[in-house]
Amino acid sequence: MLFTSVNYFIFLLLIVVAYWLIPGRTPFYRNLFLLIANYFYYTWWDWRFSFLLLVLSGIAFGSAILISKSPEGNRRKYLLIISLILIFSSLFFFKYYNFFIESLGIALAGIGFSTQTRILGIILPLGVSFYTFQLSGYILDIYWEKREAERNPVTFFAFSSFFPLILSGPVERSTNLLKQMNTVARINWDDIAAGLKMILWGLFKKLVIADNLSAYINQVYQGPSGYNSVTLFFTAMLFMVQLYADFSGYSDIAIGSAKLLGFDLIKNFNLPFFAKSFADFWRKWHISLTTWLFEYIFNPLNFTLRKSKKAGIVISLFTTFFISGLWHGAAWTFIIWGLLHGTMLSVEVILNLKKRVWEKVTSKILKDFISIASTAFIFITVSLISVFFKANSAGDAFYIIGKIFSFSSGSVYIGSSSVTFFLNILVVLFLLLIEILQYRKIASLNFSETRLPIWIRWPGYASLIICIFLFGKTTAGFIYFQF
Amino acid sequence: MTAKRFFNGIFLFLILLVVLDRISGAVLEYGIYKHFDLHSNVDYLVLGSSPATLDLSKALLEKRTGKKFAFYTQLGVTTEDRLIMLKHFLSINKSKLKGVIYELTPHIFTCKGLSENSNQLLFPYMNDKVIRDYLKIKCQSKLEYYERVIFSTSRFNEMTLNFAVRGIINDRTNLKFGIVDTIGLQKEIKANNFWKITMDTDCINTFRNTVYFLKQRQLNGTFVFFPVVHILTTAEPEKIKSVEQRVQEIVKINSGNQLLNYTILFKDSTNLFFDHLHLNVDGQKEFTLIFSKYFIQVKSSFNQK
Repeated sequence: MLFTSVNYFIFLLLIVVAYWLIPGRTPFYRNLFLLIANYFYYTWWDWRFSFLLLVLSGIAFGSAILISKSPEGNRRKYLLIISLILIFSSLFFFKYYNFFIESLGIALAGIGFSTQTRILGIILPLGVSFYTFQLSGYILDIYWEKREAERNPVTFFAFSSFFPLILSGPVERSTNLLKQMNTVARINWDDIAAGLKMILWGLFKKLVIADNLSAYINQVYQGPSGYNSVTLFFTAMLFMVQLYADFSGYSDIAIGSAKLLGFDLIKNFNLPFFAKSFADFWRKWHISLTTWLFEYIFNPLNFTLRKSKKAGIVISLFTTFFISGLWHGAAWTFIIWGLLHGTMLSVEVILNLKKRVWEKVTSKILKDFISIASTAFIFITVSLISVFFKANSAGDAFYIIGKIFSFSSGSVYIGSSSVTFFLNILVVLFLLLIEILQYRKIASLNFSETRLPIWIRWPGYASLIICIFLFGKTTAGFIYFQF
Repeated sequence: MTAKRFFNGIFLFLILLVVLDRISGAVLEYGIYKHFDLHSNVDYLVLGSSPATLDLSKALLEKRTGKKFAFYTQLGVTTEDRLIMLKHFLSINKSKLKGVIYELTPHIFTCKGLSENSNQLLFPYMNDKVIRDYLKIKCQSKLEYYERVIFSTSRFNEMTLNFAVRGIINDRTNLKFGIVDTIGLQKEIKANNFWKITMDTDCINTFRNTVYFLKQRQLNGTFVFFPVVHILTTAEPEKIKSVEQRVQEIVKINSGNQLLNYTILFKDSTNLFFDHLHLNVDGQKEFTLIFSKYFIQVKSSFNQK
């Protein structure tokens, strides 16, 4: 039941109607209904996956209660370590076991040991990277006493399996979602309208922009040797747009779906292409994961290394982004991608450009120029780094980067049809236009408030639906499903 | 916002959506009919799939022959789709048509492969009864069918939208400048990894029905085997022979029909092919000149009939 399928929308409609019809002074029955709906949705994909989710949720639920009951000291710490090991070992086994075994085999062969590595034929349970992070975040929140442990299993299991989030996030915090699940919400028609608009915008980004760009991009990445520098450079930029449209589109559908049920989820993207520095980019891109990584990895590590000053920050950044890369996929391409981002952020920390340059500039024109130039620089650099995210292998990625910087002559490859190419460029420009409106605060990010008049908005929404009818015929999965 | 205001808003929005959808659908429908010249009074109809689209230049053919041609040619359409396309064309162009040029390739009787779901290409014409009745049977689900009945823009996909836009902006540019990778193709043939020719009974019967239908409508057909890159013809020579023989037998049903075989016309000129089944821009020019030369010679016989 993909978010883009008719089945999903029938399911969502039934759930939303039934959910709001459930009466009660406590949220128990609504949460119970949600829990059943969540597991129905998850088992629709593959019933075997639900056992892992159930077991890991059970571990998180039980260990959180035990931690909260334990006094300060070693017992509490051991409970935390054991529960985190249990949760992450399942992630390691399903996602990384084969990768590590293979890499180990290659490394041993490199130093002269011949080994026989055994690859396991295991399938990656959908959403495992997302819900393991959500559950471990919850346990850490309890350990750091950010919130009380949830005593109601129905509420907790509904939280850990919440269907709009379960496959690809956003990685929610218990301090936000679980808190909302403990209150009885009243139907708010403004929220319903905003949720519908977010779902529409998400569908447009996914079906019209991301999926239509994918055919061109996949063709180029399948045989990069056949294309010139300009085409490879252009494709790298397009892939960044595709990745953004795909994942932010998914997130918008998830957030919109949750809004229909009265839940406000964490924002996952905030106009990342307008970022003026790498730090700014990561404040705007995949916010739920980035804040998770900073909250639970970077900050504790940086605190531990605080005496090392800038060196401590750099080590913490590299560690955080190494984990971020590894989280995205068990492949060297993702690790390199993460480390490159870690490097860029470290360079920013070391150079401290913001204080050295930005704050010293007084001329408005110069400030505007630096602002536009840095936005363009960040977008181009992030796009070039994303070559590692997309390429089939690290070798391919290095080849593409090398070829881009060989500056071989030629014009941009326009694909099999000039009309399709032109339409693709048109929809990318349309995305940019909407983002400019959102950046200028003329339209809001969650479509709840806007300065645009109704005679622009309504035909605009109708046009989005028509574009989905016209372009949205693909059944391509979401890029982040693989994680 | 109150519930009443919310539902009133939804209702008004749906009306707006339907109106905009109908307007957009009508514009696109106009574009696609214009692209294929379905409403024009033409002398001849070229019926087929991508080889006919890419191997013949409409402008050059019309210039050389002095006749008007409608190219009702869509990528991957089966013999069954073509028969429906022919009926559709004749339902809107009754008077002037002098003959039909029917594209053939060695895969004419291969129903499985590229041509699966080709009926999707016919959705834009579903305002026509002939097409609507056909699609009602061919659609995989009722949902698929009725979604397209209700929302006219949902009848278009990437390819048909492309045709519609080309029709609106009057663009018939051919951008197939490349040359077929013969080494790669040879490797694929060696590895037995290529699109095999089959003789599907359903396809053969539909083709026979098409020939009968043309006879019934007193229309003569010129059945043309379009050029194929030579390496491919050497991969399954026996099967090609069988297809050609079967076509010949069926075409004979009407003595006014003609069969032309250009399969190995460019046997020694692989540089004229874009891929193994389609010519590039240079190939298109050359083939159109050859075909129009033949056509000028025989058009008198067409006219007589």
